[in-house]
Amino acid sequence: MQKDFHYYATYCAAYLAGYTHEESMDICYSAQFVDLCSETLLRKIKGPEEAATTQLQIEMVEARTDVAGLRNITRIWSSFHFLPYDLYAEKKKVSKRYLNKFRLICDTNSDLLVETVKLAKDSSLQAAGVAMHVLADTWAHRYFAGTPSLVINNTDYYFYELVPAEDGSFTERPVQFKHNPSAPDDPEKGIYINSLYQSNEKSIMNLGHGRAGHLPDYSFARYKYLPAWGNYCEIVKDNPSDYMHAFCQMIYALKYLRGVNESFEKNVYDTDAVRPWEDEIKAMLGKRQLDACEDWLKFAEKLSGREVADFDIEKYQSEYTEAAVKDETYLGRFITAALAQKNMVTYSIFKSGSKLAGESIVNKKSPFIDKLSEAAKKRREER
Amino acid sequence: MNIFKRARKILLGMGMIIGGFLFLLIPEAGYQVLIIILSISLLVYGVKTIIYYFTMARNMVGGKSALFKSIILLDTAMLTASFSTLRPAYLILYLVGMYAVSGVINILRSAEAKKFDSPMWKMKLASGIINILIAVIAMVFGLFLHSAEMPVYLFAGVVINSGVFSIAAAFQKEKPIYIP
Amino acid sequence: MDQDEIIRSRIRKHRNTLNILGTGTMALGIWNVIKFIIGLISTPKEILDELFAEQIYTDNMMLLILILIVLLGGSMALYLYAGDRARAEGRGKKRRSFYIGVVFLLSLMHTLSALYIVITLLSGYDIRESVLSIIVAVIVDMTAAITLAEMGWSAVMIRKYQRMAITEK
Repeated sequence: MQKDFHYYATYCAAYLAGYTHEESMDICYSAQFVDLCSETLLRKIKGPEEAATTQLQIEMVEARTDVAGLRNITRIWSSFHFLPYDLYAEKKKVSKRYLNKFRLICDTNSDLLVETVKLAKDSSLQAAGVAMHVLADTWAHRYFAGTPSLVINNTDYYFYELVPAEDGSFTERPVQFKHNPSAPDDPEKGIYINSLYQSNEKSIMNLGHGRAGHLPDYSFARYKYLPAWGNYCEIVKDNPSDYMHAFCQMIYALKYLRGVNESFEKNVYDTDAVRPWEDEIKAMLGKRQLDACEDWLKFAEKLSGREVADFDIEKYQSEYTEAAVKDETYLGRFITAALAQKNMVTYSIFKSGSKLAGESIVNKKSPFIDKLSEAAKKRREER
Repeated sequence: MNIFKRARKILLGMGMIIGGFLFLLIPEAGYQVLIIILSISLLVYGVKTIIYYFTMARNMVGGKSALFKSIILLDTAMLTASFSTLRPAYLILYLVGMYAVSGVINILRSAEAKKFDSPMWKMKLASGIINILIAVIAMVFGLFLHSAEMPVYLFAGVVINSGVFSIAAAFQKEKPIYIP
Repeated sequence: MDQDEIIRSRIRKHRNTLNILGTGTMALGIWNVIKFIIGLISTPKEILDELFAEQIYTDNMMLLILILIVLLGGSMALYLYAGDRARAEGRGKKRRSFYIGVVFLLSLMHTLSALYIVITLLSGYDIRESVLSIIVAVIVDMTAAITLAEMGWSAVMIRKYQRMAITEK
């Protein structure tokens, strides 16, 4: 997903879940920051590079594609952008090597998603933001895996956009994929940019939804294609519907984090909270535009009646670099939350028998674990 | 490019230049060594691809292309190995085909790189032109003038050329490629 | 997954096979011709001796060249036709079944070629080529035969599944 959803829509979801304007700003900033917190940025602010939640293009070009490099890539992308659906999925007559990658395929309403949301319970607003980013991305990035893999993430010429006609029906139009990074996508002509086909299984070009370009991240897109792992079965992706589900589920999750709901269950969506604005949100999601920030901003400001500041990547950086106790700063809390999420997912993948995200141990006596518990306890007392 | 990749490219380049000069100095042994190197590398690549097909790609939509590729590679490896008992004319034929195709591919890649404003286009174009020139020289000397040492000298030239380009590429600045 | 979707997925799978192998068949046809021509340029006597008696090609060189061009052209045309039709069907366009016959015919020709080589070798006939070259030739022929047969099989299966889909409707 893009800034329009991770920042502005998350703000709206937080506000509708009952958070104040200031709290909603903290949550949505954190949600958007997940897409920007790279090793480069962490080095700049002298933060721990292990807390990286994304990788810049230049970092991926330079990334090692040996075992250690691939594990690092998988840790980051599976933990924050392509949360695995079923780490114990079975598929007959396949090798272990294939099965390990198959099990990393992202989809909605997974056990790991429940763990992600629960991890943010009684924690910081930044943790809530991280969880909301992960939740939202499970809807946009479903059917792709956060590890470089041709056999899982590849797409081919069978790729059609379902373009809505005025009478409500849909026309199938073949998607033209091009590889020119400087040219923008052209939804009117059905021309989109994707990553170049690379027959090397572990090529960076085969990471995530690169082979489908930005289509999964456009809320208006409806398309059908053959996922590489799908045994020639067609998948129809309806982003307007999926994004609406993501929005309603975020509200439900945030209400749980606020303490309004007692539990967070799979396949539950707070459609009641959205009902007064359903048509407006559907119109925004269905509008064929590459960037819906302006529409979501207007909606957000209408909801809260307050000005929603634009995202500024440098907003909290000096606070972090100048602080003596970094954990208490905004970015410090974000880093703590990011590390917790990454550790949880990495450990889960390791426990399932796969070393694609590296080896992981849980040391119950680790000072990091103690710190997490102490921080959570302190926050509970403050409230 | 990170430091490991750079170091690997430089070491590989130096190894290729030294290997190329060795071929020039002892061409008699060069012919057989050439066949062995070519066929073994193709065989290894073919076997790797076929293993990849059976463990991974057969579960993938369009994965059959990997099987096809592996069969072609294995066929080519065996074909190359059989050149040791044939006249050099067949090896020259092989070199002509291989380098002509490689040259055309490099020129097409150069055009693509230029379209993306990548600084790599000049090097790819130069590499492509050199490969085609090698193919033409091979055809003229080998097929029409029937020169038996030509394959070895050609291969030596190609190896040295590749070594030089490998070292040059290690110092080239790369433009980030598109990854969404 | 319902029965309709299973049938559709099988059709897609076979179309994909046709697309890939169709491309390979076209490349095979072109490569066969290139190989022959360059062999003719580099070692004309050996190639012609295998095909004709020396007297024939010495006296009727121009006619022979014409015949070779026609045969080579015809051979390449068959491969290109079969490959192109397969690719088109692989992309979902409807094509008549005639090309399937051509595909199986080409497969049969490759099989017979491989058998001929094996029989020639086993019968102790004096051949100029090495054993390794012969093995290579047999394997290449058999690979081509199997690939072409699989392509034909995929085309047949597409028709079968399409009939099943219509019947069920």
